Amino acid sequence: MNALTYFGPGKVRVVEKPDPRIEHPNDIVLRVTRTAICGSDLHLLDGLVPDTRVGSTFGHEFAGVVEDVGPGVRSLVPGDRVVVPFNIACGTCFFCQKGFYACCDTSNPMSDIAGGAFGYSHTTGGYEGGQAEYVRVPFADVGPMKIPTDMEEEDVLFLSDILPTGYMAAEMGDIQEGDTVIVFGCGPVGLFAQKCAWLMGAGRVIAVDHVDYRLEFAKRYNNVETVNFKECDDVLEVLKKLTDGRGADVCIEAVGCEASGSLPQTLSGKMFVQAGSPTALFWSIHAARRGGRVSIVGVYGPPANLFPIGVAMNKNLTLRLGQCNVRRYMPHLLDLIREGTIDAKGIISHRFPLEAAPDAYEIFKQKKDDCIKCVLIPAHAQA
Amino acid sequence: MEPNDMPIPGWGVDRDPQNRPGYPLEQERRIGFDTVQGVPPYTTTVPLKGLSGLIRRAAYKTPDWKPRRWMMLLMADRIDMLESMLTPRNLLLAGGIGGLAAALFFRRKLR
Repeated sequence: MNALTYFGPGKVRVVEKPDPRIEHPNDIVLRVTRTAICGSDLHLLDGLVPDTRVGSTFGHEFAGVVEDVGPGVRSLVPGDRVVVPFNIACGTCFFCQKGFYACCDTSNPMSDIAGGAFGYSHTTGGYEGGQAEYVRVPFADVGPMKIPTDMEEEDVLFLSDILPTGYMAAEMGDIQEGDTVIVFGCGPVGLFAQKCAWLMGAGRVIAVDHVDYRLEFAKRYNNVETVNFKECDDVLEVLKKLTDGRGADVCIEAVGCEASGSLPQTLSGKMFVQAGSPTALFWSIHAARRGGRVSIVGVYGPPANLFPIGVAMNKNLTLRLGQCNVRRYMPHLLDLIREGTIDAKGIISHRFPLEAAPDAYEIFKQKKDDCIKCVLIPAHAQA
Repeated sequence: MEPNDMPIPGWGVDRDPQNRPGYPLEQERRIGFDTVQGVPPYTTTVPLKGLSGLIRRAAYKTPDWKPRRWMMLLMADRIDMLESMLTPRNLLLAGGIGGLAAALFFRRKLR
């Protein structure tokens, strides 16, 4: 099969690899029909995630058709169309039973930091990702969700990661009626976090980014106020002024470890003095009012970051962080998509054949051609 | 009333089985890698090899909370990339270029 494969920082190619097969009785093999590139894939591409091995395939947002099932699988048969959460969860361990599917003990027992995930280095279990023609899906009775017959893969593709992540970001902010919410980041997760902040009763939503076309899109798609931090001498001063000097009730950080905005943070991240640049995190802490809430879904990794924990503590902030426990939110969000409240596929700006994935990565990373979200289509799924 | 007498409203493992992830598979004990003759659900298509593999093995012995573990893994990633460039084609090419450079050097010396 063809699969996007990593060959070192900045180097990915589509190469021939053996087809996956059933390794465990609870596996399925999925024929991928739609897969997307996530902003967090760029951290892998840039070599920032430890234990990313040459030869591994990325991709944790995908949907497809069940091709083969293991003898232990009960809920799926070949031919079923499913969308798959990026978490790999067993459903029965201590964490899964509490709904923390992102923290599954069984799928990544070697690590205390993260549960198993598709295509996200051996730090999360070494599972092959879905930017390929086929992918092995463990614990198939727990994660994958069947796609209703009246919906297409692209309608629900983002239930695999970014839509539930945006939803969870808003949920963790414990948004009350009329709250002012600042969302850092107008990438796909930030866009959905803005949308969900409105759905949860925010009175005002302010989006911060530095890319003009993404701020314009956020204004159109989500009807938010926008701030371009590159046009501000001091973005925190601007945000304080916009919030009567007090700060926001909730700050949502949807940027992660490759944030721009501060040269010292960026340089120290690139030199591995710290694990990437936590500029957006820094701003989130400072832009929240005292007693406010900061919700963090931007991806950061080990070993450590310079972090204003003293400020957070003295301001009595509530910090909520985490990898999204996707399976909890999928059914509810599917209903919101179906009834038209959320137009999930409205953020797709580019579609590429799988063979052009390296070009897609380049366009997505460099934010060319007003790119918001790239979807890759394997050859067998091209019309 | 003793604490253990108090009804627990379906928290964690005590939650109504109809509303708990993993049910009924948990009840039937089919899921869970430890019940299937020790077959783990994880595998890898990229096994450890070479110097990068040695460094990774050493890193895995260090706990998560020590930065040393992660710095060793990052170093192993870079070495892995260099090892992946040592293909027969690249070695032949390097050998050819090296041989040509040496021949030109000694030819100049011998003149």
